[in-house]
Amino acid sequence: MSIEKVLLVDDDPRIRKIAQISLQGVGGWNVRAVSSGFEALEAASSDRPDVILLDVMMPEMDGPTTLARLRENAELASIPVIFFTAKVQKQEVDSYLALGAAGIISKPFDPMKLPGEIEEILRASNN
Amino acid sequence: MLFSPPLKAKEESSSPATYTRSEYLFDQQRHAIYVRTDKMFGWLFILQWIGSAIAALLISPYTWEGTQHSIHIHVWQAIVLGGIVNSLPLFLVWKQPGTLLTRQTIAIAQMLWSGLIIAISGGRIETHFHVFGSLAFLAFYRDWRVLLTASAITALDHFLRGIYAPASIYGVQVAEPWRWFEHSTWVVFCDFFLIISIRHSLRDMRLMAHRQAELESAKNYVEQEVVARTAELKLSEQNLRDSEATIRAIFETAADSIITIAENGTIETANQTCEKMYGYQFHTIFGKHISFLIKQIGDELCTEDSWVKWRDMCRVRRNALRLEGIGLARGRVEIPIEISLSFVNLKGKKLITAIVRDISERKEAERRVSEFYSIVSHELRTPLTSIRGSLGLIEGGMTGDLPVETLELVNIARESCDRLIRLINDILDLKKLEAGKFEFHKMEITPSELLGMSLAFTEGMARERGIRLELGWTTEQPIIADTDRLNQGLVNLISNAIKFSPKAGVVELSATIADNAVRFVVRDQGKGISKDQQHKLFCKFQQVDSSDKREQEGTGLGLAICKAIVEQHGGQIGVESDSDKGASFWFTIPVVSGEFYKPTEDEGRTSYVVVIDDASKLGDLLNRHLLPSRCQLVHVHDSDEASKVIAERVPDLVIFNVSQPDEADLELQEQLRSLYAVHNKPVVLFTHSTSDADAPSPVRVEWHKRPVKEEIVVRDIKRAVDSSNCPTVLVVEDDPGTRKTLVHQLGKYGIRCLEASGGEEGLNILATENPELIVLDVGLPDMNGFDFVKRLREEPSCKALPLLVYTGRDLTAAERRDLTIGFTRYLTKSKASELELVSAIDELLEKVRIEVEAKANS
Repeated sequence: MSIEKVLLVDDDPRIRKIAQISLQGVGGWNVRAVSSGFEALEAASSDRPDVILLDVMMPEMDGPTTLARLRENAELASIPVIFFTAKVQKQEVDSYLALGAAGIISKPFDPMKLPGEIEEILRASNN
Repeated sequence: MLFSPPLKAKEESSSPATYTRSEYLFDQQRHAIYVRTDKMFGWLFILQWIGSAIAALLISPYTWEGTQHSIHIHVWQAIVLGGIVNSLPLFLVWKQPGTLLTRQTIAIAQMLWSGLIIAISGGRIETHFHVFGSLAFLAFYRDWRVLLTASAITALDHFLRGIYAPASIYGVQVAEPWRWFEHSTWVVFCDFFLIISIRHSLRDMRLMAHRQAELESAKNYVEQEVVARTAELKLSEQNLRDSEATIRAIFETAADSIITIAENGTIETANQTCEKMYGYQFHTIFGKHISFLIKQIGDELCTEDSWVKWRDMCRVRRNALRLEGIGLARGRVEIPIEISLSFVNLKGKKLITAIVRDISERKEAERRVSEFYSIVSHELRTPLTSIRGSLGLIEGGMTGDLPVETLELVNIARESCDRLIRLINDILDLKKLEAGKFEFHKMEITPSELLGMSLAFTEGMARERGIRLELGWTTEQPIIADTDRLNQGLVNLISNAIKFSPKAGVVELSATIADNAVRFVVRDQGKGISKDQQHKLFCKFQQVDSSDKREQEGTGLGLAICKAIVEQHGGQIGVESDSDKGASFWFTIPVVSGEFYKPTEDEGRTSYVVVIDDASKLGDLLNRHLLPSRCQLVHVHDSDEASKVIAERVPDLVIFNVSQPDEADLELQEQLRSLYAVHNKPVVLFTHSTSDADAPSPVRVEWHKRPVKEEIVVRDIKRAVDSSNCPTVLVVEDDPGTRKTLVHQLGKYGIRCLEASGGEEGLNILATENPELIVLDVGLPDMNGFDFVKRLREEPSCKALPLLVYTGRDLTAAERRDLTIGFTRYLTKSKASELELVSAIDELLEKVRIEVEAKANS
């Protein structure tokens, strides 16, 4: 499955900028960046991205909650979600996967390799 | 001895005191007898006085002279003399009864009475008996002296009166001169027996006195003892009460709850702390099952059933069982607790003592620490993400082209940033590991899986630097470990090894069993680490001095982290090295006994290996590497010995390490050959070259050069023993009969066959299976052999497959060429023997292996 549209969710504008350049410039994808879980739900509905890159630590609605909400919506439930986070202890990783995420990308990340990693995760989860 | 005899010996008395006492008692007794007898005599004298007076009056009241009568003299004698005789004795009896004087006086007096009575009776012989009577009475005194005195008085009296007044004593006018003597003899005769009687009597008295003294003494002793024991008892009772009070105080004031639980799980006692902790009064919880207070022990709910399991576990263990759990206080409030259970057996009464500690605070602190790490980790990483991201994009050219210098600077910044990220990761990991707070996810894994993982991670790095990674002997013994962490450690060690390896060097990995543990070793051929540098290695922020820039990429924490990980698994880590001699970094992971790997019947069955070795080095090598429970090794020194051993049991593998084979060796080889034909074993390995004709088949490998290279030996043996003695071969042959025969023939030699009746089928099989060799019949129906080979050439994975072309007719050179891909041999069906067939297969397989190795070496 090839990726064309990516929804990027992160409350930190700096990371949004960097990730956007990376996904667009290196990955060649169409990127929509939003700053909160609420916006994410709207954008997911309206744009139907191929993959959602979701930050964990966000105020008001955090990553896992956003994921849960996405899963509640039948149409949006099938969109693969990859968590994007600085917290990467094993037990946390397991819990994210248990929630239904396709994978985790840890911060800091290599912006040149980010698209590749995303593809790798999607490929692995499809098998 | 006429004295009253003392008892046998003074020693008969239990002590001088007792003796003294018994003597005293005896004397008292005697004195009492004297007094009593004195008194008796007192009355007797009075009686005799009165009696004799009356008798005199009766018998001869008057004396007649003519017609004048006056009172007979006897009467006056009786009254007057009687009075005189009585006076002193009676006085003495009254004044000092019991004395010797009194007695003697009485004795004399009594005998005088006898005399008087005889005189009054006019010497009648009957009254002489009064003498004997008196003596008998005097014997009452039990004092022989008295008898002497009495006898003397009597004798004197008889003698004197015999001369001067015979009528008053004998009743005759003239007495014989010896008559007094005759009478005295009778007295002596009487005395003799009386004295004996006195002696016996006194002895009995003494004995009784002694007994009494002893009894008194015993009674005293017992009384003393009773008093003493009573005092002791009181004292110990007091001590007991004190000690009980102390223990009670400790029990009640202990900071943790102490509960004793009966065998059936009900609560027997609980201290005050328990009451406070749980909010129940003791009477409320007494008799209730312990699950009333404890909800969960470890990860399990505590119920009446699960309690039995804990109870039994306690009973078996020597130390207390200590676990975390959840307690249940009043109002169904849950408390995090730490509970330790120990088994107590008090004279058959079995109890479990539970000490319960409220660890809410500790848990809270732990949670705070954990949260701290989380936050710190997050707070450090977030800005680094921006830095790394920005630099990465600029470096990657996403913002356009940059002047060279700018790019260089950005490069420097990005590298430093990477280093910082690694450092933070390492520091946080290390802090957690050292605090024991690192959560390991342990599971069962085999060393070969683990090494495989590490190899995969480091392959790229090794290839980049032209270093070869080799896997040496790897045991199958599984261990319980956190795979990711151990992998992290191994990757660290391997990366170091790669960094420090010389050009085209080799890094070898191995995992062997050593002393209840699996020992992982990463060995490099670099410049080694001198002894004085070694102790600093595993400390934090240590870099072994190096002038080479590229060796400074590390964070300096890698080995410290390895050490912490290994130690958290209960293992040890270290290095064996010296300057310019490379380095072997090793670590051990203990294997809990009982988990030891036992090869199952089919899986690699314990191979029986016979080594014929005239030098001992090979033996050591094999011992070290083959001990991992896979092989039973028998070491013999020559072929004769070997024959005997082999005759008892056919080995799976025979290793010939003989430099100059002699007659016996060759004979043995023959024997092995025939054995193989029958049993499909043994496989033979030679350390020196042989020509095909001599070698018993199938020969797996030949080690041509001496000195024998350890790695190669080990690898080859492993292969031989590991039995892929079961190579897989694809047989492509359309004629079923021929095919079956081929399969059968090959099967005898332990070769597993995949069958295809045509080229298409063969290709299909190749898509899914990986045979090591193809036996190909040229004349196939659907596509001929040539086309098949062409198709094979097209498939990249099949290009290296060895081919055994097996045809019914001889092939021309051109045909052969067409049928060749990689290694190929050609055999004509009718002309080739079974042996040739199998040898050819073997040879091909071997050629492939050698080539693969050669490629890896280059």
